[in-house]
Amino acid sequence: MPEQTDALRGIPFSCDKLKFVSDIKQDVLLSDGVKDSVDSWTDDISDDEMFSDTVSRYAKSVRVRIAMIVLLIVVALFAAIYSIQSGPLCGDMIQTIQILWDYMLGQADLDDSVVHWTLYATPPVLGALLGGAGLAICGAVMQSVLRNPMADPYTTGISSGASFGAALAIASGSILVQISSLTVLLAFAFSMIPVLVILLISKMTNASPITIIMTGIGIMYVFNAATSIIRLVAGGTAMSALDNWLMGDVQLVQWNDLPVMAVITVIGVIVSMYLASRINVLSTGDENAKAMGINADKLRIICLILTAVVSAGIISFTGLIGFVGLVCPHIIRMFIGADNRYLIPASAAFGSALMVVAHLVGKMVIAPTLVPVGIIMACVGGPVFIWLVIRKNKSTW
Amino acid sequence: MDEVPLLEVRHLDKVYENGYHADRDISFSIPSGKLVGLIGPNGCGKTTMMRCINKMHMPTSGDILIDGESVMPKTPAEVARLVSNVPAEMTASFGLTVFETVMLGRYPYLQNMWWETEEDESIVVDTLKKFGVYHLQDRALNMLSSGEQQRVLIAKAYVQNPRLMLVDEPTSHLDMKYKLDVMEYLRAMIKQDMTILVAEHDISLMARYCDLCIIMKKGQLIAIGEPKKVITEELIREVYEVEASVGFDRDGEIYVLPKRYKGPPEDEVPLE
Ligand SMILES: Nc1ncnc2c1ncn2[C@@H]1O[C@H](COP(=O)(O)OP(=O)(O)O)[C@@H](O)[C@H]1O
Ligand SMILES: [Mg+2]
Repeated sequence: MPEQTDALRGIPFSCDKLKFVSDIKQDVLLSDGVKDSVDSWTDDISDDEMFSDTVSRYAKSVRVRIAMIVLLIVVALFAAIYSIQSGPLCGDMIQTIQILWDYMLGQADLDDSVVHWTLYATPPVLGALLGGAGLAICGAVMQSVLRNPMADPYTTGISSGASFGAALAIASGSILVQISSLTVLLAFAFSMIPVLVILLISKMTNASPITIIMTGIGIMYVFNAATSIIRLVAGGTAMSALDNWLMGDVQLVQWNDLPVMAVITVIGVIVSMYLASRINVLSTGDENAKAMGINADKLRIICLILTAVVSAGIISFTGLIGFVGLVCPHIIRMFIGADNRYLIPASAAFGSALMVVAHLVGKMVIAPTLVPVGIIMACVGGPVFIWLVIRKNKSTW
Repeated sequence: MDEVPLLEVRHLDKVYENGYHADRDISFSIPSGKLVGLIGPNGCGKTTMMRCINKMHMPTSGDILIDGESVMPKTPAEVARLVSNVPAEMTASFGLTVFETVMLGRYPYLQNMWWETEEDESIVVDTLKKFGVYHLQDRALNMLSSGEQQRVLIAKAYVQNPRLMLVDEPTSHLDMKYKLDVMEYLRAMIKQDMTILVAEHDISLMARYCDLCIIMKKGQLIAIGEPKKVITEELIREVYEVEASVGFDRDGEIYVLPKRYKGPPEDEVPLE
């Protein structure tokens, strides 16, 4: 008897195979799975015992996330106090807290040497605490509203605008007395230029998130070139002062700077938390946001202005600090997810902790030389970040 | 019996900023609780019309009424509680989980636009089960297959609890099982007193599942009516410029089989 073959595949014909094929066919035509599940729609699903289980499961995941945020805040504060008391001639941690408390109430005994040195060591640490929080929320918000994992103050041109302003101020420093505050002012003023350009382009062309990032990168190149020219022309001491600023370090932060930084950061955190659920919707696309009753373009512009002001405000005081804004939100997303209502406060706390620890390490690693926070974070954080990216699957972005 | 139609579109015109006239004088109304198919060639203005209906775009002229009330004076949030939308594609964002994605559909109802209540949670759980994606709830949306993603997006539109759901090309990336799957879900939602307008290219599928079909061509309404009456060989020749045979299978279900392209328009050079 001649062997029959399947004409298409050239495989010997067999009864088993035929049965298999007919099974599949029936499944397709009847679409059983769906029919079953749709038929059960009328059943009272809330009687299902799994039901209460899941509600509590979601509630539990919320509680876990809140606990993680609280933990991060505690770690950040603890690290800050530890960092202050590790300064030369300072007291222990309890004493440090006492001194800071008295100082806030205006009762500190400024003639006491421990008090003096504690208060001397404090501003950079508080600068790290505030700066880390501010930059981290900027990264989180920018990434969500621009739907781009690369979005941060660098890729939106804000940092390079600030650098250019600082360069101008430092280069002209020889003829001006108040160098430091001029630097801050010009850095802030020029960091607003990229934002204005982006707003203008959005108005003109209904710019998509990707257009905004590309514009930001274009602006970054222009400003960086301009900064390099100033650096070449200025030369000498101005050049090294500028290099200091470009390296970015919280060591530059003074007591006078802290109120402004604090106000900017607190406003940033509060407003972005208030907008967080809207940002969630926007992060799933403009069309989706509009269908949910959200004005996508307006919300994005509000968020961009907010993050621009916050990041520019911080960078102006600390000099260029990268890494925190870009990386903190990504690391946090791996652990507590992409919901901005938790992502924003967690990133803020994590950014604070990271900056404070980096600053602490920078003070100790080759003491008495202070290594700027930016350098520490990049050295240690970069490889750690790459490791996390490789280890975790791609689902986070 | 002058029942108020659920959706009434009156003389809708949409001209885009670049001058393109996408929808021309479209008027129709659909009664409550129907599954309505929107059929027409690519670029004929289906998506544009849907976007006008939920005020994502402002119509150039004309009016949209839902339950007899114009949507024009309503705020976006009010419209979002009346009309939900399943877009043709959704940007999967930074690994929001399936649960969180569906929860976004409750957004128009959130108090202070912030916290979801236990009621919202139970609605979401309930819906995840209905759409058979309960077991996927902790997965990131972009880690699902197209069919699963589509179910999640429909579930998200469902928890928005709208009067009217707009579904744009839900089956374009799906195999035939998942196509049927989507249509079964749409029918199940109809039973729960929703009205659905679905744009779709698979005419046979539309003919089988829809109560009404709306046929469009070049921004104009060509026909509206019961599928078996509307979908004819002449209509397909007229709308798609394609020869097709329209027939009935053993169960009396209509099917459409494209046969031959009528030929390129005169100003195009034919291939050798
Ligand atoms: N934002 C826009 N600006 C200008 N023209 C557009 C825009 N969106 C769509 N169009 C044009 O309008 C026409 C109809 O598009 P659309 O409604 O998306 O068609 P369909 O969904 O039926 O395929 C197309 O020719 C398209 O090029
Ligand atoms: Mg379309």
